[in-house]
Formats: sequence, C-alpha cells, structure tokens
Amino acid sequence: MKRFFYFFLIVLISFSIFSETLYKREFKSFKLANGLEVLMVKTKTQPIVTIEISAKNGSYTQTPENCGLSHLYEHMFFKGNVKWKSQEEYNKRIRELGIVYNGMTSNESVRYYFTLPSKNIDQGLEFMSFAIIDPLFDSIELEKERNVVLNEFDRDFSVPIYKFYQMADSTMYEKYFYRKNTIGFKNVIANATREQMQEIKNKYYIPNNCALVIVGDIDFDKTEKIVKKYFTRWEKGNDVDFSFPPHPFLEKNKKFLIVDRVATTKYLLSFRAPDFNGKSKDSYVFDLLSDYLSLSSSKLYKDLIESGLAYNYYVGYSGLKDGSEFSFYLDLRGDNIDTVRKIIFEHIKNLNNPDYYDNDLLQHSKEYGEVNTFRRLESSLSFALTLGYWWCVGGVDNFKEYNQKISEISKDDIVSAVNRYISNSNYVEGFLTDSLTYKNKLSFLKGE
Amino acid sequence: MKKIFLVFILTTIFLFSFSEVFKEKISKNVELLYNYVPENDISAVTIFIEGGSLNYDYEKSGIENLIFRLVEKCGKNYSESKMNELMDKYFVNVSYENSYDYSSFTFSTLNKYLFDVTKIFADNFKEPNFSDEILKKEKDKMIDEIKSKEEDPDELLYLKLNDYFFKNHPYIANPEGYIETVQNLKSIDLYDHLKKIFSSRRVIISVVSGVPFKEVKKFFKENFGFINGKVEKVESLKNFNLCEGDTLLKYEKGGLQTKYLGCKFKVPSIKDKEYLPVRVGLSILSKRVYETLRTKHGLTYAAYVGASNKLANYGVFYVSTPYPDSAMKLYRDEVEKVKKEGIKQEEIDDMKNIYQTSFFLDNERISNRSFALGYNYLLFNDYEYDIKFIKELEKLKSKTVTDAVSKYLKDFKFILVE
Repeated sequence: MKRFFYFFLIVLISFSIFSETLYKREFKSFKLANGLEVLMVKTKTQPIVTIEISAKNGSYTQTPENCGLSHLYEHMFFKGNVKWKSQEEYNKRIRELGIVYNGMTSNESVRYYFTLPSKNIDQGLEFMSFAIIDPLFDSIELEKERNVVLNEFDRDFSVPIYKFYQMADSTMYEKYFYRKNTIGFKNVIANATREQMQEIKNKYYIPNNCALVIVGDIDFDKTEKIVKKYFTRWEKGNDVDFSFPPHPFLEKNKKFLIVDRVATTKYLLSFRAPDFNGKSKDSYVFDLLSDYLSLSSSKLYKDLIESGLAYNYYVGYSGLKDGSEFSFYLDLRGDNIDTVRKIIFEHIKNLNNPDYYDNDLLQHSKEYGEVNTFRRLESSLSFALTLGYWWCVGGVDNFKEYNQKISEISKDDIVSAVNRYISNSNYVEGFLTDSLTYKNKLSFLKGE
Repeated sequence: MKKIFLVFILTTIFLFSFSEVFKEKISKNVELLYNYVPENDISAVTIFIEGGSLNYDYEKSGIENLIFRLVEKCGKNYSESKMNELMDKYFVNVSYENSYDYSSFTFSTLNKYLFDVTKIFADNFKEPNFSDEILKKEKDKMIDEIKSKEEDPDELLYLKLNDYFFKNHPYIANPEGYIETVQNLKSIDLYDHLKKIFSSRRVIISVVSGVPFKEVKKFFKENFGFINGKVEKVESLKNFNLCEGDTLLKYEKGGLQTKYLGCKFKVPSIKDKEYLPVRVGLSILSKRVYETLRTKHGLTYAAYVGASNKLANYGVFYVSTPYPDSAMKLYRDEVEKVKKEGIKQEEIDDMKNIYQTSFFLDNERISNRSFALGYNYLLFNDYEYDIKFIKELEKLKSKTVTDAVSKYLKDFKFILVE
C-alpha cells in the first residue's frame, strides 16, 4: 500500500512538472523543424477530437487585385488533393471518418477544422495533411467553386444588415478597404485563376505561417508521433512579411445612410481604436470597457434598454492587428433616434471621467469576462477555434495571460485610453432605416 | 469482431453521455431529471412544458413566447432593473425555445449560484408580472422582430412554406406569433394561459450540475412544488391536410440578388418507427443533392434536404440559386434515382459515423445536455432516447431505408422567393 502511495505521488509530481494548463485543460505545444507550431489540449468530456489548421491569412493580406481570394482559397481547400483526387473521393473520406467540418475566413485568420471520433485521429491527421499540403486546384473545380462563392456573395448582399456592415467598414477603412473585405469584389472572384490560388498557397500556406491545433480526447505522446509522421514533409517557405501601410485614422467625422425595407432602424457609431499588439494595455482596456458597457446593470443599459428607447445594443472592440475599432451597434425604432443619439454621445462624453465607473461593477465586468471565456471554451471545437484565432491574431502567450491582464486594468488606464482614442476623436456614424422622416434623414446627413 | 466493435462504441457512448441520471417526481405533473457532472463549474437547468402550439388557438399565437420573455425580464418580486442586476451578479445565460410541440426555458450559471438563480426564475413563474406597461413594451419589441424576419429571404421562405403547409392544421398557430395575434394579447390572457398549462400539462425540469443531487432534489421540490395539476392528455395531432401532387407558388420580394427555392413534404412523426430510416434516407439524399447542385454543377452555395423533428412532421428541400428551374429539375432527378436505384449500405454506414460525431459534439455543452435530457424524456419518456437512436442506426439496412424514404418523397409543395 505504501509502495502504491509513493508511486502515485511520483506520478502526480511528474504530471505537475511536465504538463502545462490552459484554462484548466492540459496543454502541450511543440514546433516541427519546418516551423509548424502544434498546440494540443486535452478535453475528456466526449470521445472526439478537433483537428484545426489555422493560417495567418485572410482579408488583411489582400490587394485590390485579389480581394476575396483568401475566402475562395478556403473553399478550394475542401476540393481534391494528390491523395483524394476528386471532390467525390474527398467527401467520401470525410464520411468514412465521421468528420464534421467547416472552414472560416476572417480579417486576420483562416481556419479549417475536422471534428471526428478520437479513435480516428491518425487517419484524420493524415487527411488534414494532404488537404493542406497538396491541394490540386483543378481548373474545372475552380470554375465551379467561383460560382458557389458568387452565390454566397449574392446571398450576403440580399440581406440589408450585411450591406450596412460592409458600408461601415468601407467608410472607416476607405483607403485600404480591400484589406477588410473578406467576401471581396465580385469581378475578382469571377475571374480568379489557378495561378492566383497557387500564389496564395506558396506565400501563406507554409508550415512557418500556420498552426496545427488539436483539442479533444487525446494522448499527447501518441498525437505528437502522428503529427510528426504526416506533417514533417511540409516544406518550409519564406517568412511572410506582414508590414502593410497602416490604415489612416479618420480626418473628419463620416456619416452614411442606407434606406431599405427594414422593420427597425440600425444605428452604428464607431471610433478607431488601438491595433492589437499584445504589449500595450490599451487593447485590454477596450475589451474591458466593452464588457463594462454591455452589462445589463450598467447605466448605459438602463438608459437605452430599460427606458424602452432601444431594443438591443452591442458594444465591441474588434482587437485586430491591422485596423481596429470600438463600436456601438443599436437596434431601435426610428422615431427614437434623436433621443438615443443624445444619450449615446452623453455617455461617450463621460467615458473619460473616473466617476463614471462604479468600482464594484468594474470588478464584476472583469469576472464576467472570465466566466464568459470559460463558457466559450466549454466544447473542444470552440476551444480549438478560439486557440487557433488567438495564435493568428494575438499570440498564444497573450491568450494564456488574457484574464490576468484584464484584471490589472485600472480606472486610470481606461480614462487614459479613452482620452487618446475616443474623446474628441473622429468617428463613423451610420443608419440603416426606412422609417426616418425626410427631415430626420436630411438633418442627419448635414451633421446636425 | 464487428459485434465487439459495436459493443465498444455503445459502451463509450453510454459512458460519455448520461452517466448518473436521477429521476424524481416533484408534484403530480412535474418531474425532475438530474445529471451529476462534478468536473464542470457550470450548472444548466431546462424547464419543458408539453404541448406547444396545441396549447393555444391561432388567435393566441405567440403567447408562450411572450410569457417566457416576460419571465426572463421580471416578476412580481423582481423589477426589471433588479433582474438585470441579479442576472449580471450571478453570470446567468438564458435561452428559450417555443416549438410546435413544447416550450422550453433554459438558464445556466455557476454551480455556486444554482439555487439563487433557480429561486428567481421559479418565483417569476409563480408570481409573474404581466402588467400593461411592461407587456406593451415587450409586445412592441416582439412585433418588430416578427416584421424583421421578412427582411431575411431565408426566414421569409421558411415563413411562407409554413403558412402554406400548416394551413388547416394546429401548427398554423406559430409559436413565434403573428403581428395581429401578438397585438391582441392581453395581460389576463397571459395569466390564464400560464395557470392553464401549469395545471394541466407535463412539466419536465432537467438539471445538469456539479451540485449534489440530494440538495438539488430538496431545493427544486420546495421551489417548483407550486406547479401541481392533473396531466390532461394533449390531443393527438392529425396529419397535414394537403392536396396530392406537386405545387409551386412564387413570392416576389424584390431587391434580392439571388433566388430562394424551398419545398416541404410529409414525413413520419418523430415518434413513428419509420422516422429513423426516413431521416437517414433524407440525410443521404441531402448529401447527393449537395454534391450534384454545388459540387458538380456549381449552381449554389447552399443546398439541403432533411427531416424535421416534429410530432406532425415534414421534410424540407432548400436551395439558393440564380437558376431555380435547373435546381428543381436536378433535385427531382436525385429523388427518382433514390426510388429506382435505392440507397447503398455503404452510404448508410458513412452517415452513422457523422451522426455519432455530431451527437458527441452536441453533448459537450452543459446546456445542450440539460436540453437533451428533458427533450428525450418529454417526447419519448426515455432520457436516453438519443443514445438508443444511435444504437438503432447500427441496425439499419439499405432496403429499410430505401423503402421508407421512397414512400414519402412525393407531393412536394414548392415556394420560390425572388
């Protein structure tokens, strides 16, 4: 019995020495010689695993000539490769392995995931390796997929709110809007070539610009061996230069108005905010400020929602490396717009006053953010997607320390950041409505 | 060997799913289901009420949705402002679903606040506040949300299909409500309705939590004991009353950059033995239609076929495309192919794999588990129904699926939104 106890103690000690935790889950990372970072997390609730490739690609790497092709490339990932040549073969393999899959292109990341039974992890990693390393970009498949993406484009632009958000981005980031436009330009998509796909692959789909994220019911040692078996052959490429000309800040306030057949009015007010670089406190300040203003016990909530003036609102900081904004989105009845605008601007005027912030509520919003992070990470799939996103945009170390950094933010930090980015700064303001009177619309556009 | 593998799979499913589920009768019409998950900090509670749109007439469409909205918002003992403060304090997430067959109200919080939060919602259900002022505010919001749905062509198509398919059927009482029905709902209607359902319908409360069962049992008995009535049998649902043959209706919305085609057709009830083979058969047809329309022809971004999960049930085909005529023809060709050439055993085996992974994925979230537990029990009197569903999949044969699905692939009621 005593022997067993010592054995147990040694196991415990070695466990605590060699394993790291990430949001209460066992975590291990390593890097292959070709530069591929591998991030592994154990979640034991269900016998499945999510395998994700996260690439530092997305709209921010685009030029006017290839605007929309990061997204088209993501579609082509799900076509044939040297081992599973046609899409039929590819799809067949997906079903054989019990894979639930998807891909997502955003501003600064493109992520592809397969979730499958953990007993199929070897085959799943092999399948992922061929899909990412050896796509064929068959010309006929590309032609068909262009039409698929064009239909996605048409679907998006058939919904008024999508047009509204696109307009907001194009107004804020007018000069380099193509670096914010994920769906892209229709003519670019319609004329995309195999060569352009190959160019994106050579530049961005290289192991030293990607992370392999594996989250689920796994054994670290076994998984590491399988990863090495399939991903070592991926050839390293030239390091990617991500130094783009910065998005200019607004030189004046800008307004836009979309009149469409909508039941409620959407209102947006957006300021340029600090780009995320991991080192500055400012990004964490704006995350915390968003949480603070979103609490349903906040003064803003009372003034807008409890008063019945607006139906919903959202305050958010985008936290990106290449152009970030701090925005208010509201859903309301058009006839309340003047009052609501007054209230919003009154709150904004006070954001640089330390007395605006209730100490208990500020502390609570820190805890709220922490609980929400854990909620987001409850499933292995969302854990993988969050980790992959952070790897691309903020870095894994910043993800690890996120809650700690938020907890260190003081009122003074908030006031200081608000003074630099919000108070007296220019903004974009927009409406999507059909219910404003002609007089309202005119006075809004005139800036009254 | 195959048998050993099957036993392994089923044992794994069981072990990873609803281990340690307890059942307790709280009153004549309320039952508590409890799943202990000590490894998780979050607790989730779902309150199911039987009946759905059978609980009210068309004129009262939206009533249970409105009740849930107001219970989330306030009660006699908790003002709106106080509720907002408490929901923040206890890190509460609330969601509800008003379906055609049931209504469900789910909340989640940290284990340490389970009792505080449960007490608040039990109290709001016991002593709700449906005063005129608060009711008007919520009704305005709800009406604008109903209007907003028509902005999205997908939602519009769904609503138009329902209007056509559900006419002369109790499901025409849309649980989300219509503008005119919500407008006419009065405070007294809400009080009467809540009283009626609590005194006559089965209520299932499912809890997934790290708080020990003994404490949960006592607490829930004390707080939900006020719901106590004799369960009245919900009237059986008749099938949809529709003409034979295919039909096509066109709806012009305007301002769209593509077209939206959908159809509904009758399929067996979720409780019917044929439901499983039909559902699997339609999933396989969906795969074929997707590959034909999207992969082979590049006609669309979104194409789908599937079975819904209602007591009176329907199948759906959906596609967004600038070429609806070609899409409809290709869909019909695939239907004919299923009828003539059948479904292959290999396709069924592949589909089982996908179903299993999806099942595990769903089970990862505590709130999904609390929902599934209560849902299975309310509809099938078996909280492990979904595990058995996966088990049944293993036995499915090609002929069973082909025969079942072929029987229902007819009388398509198409609607085109353009």
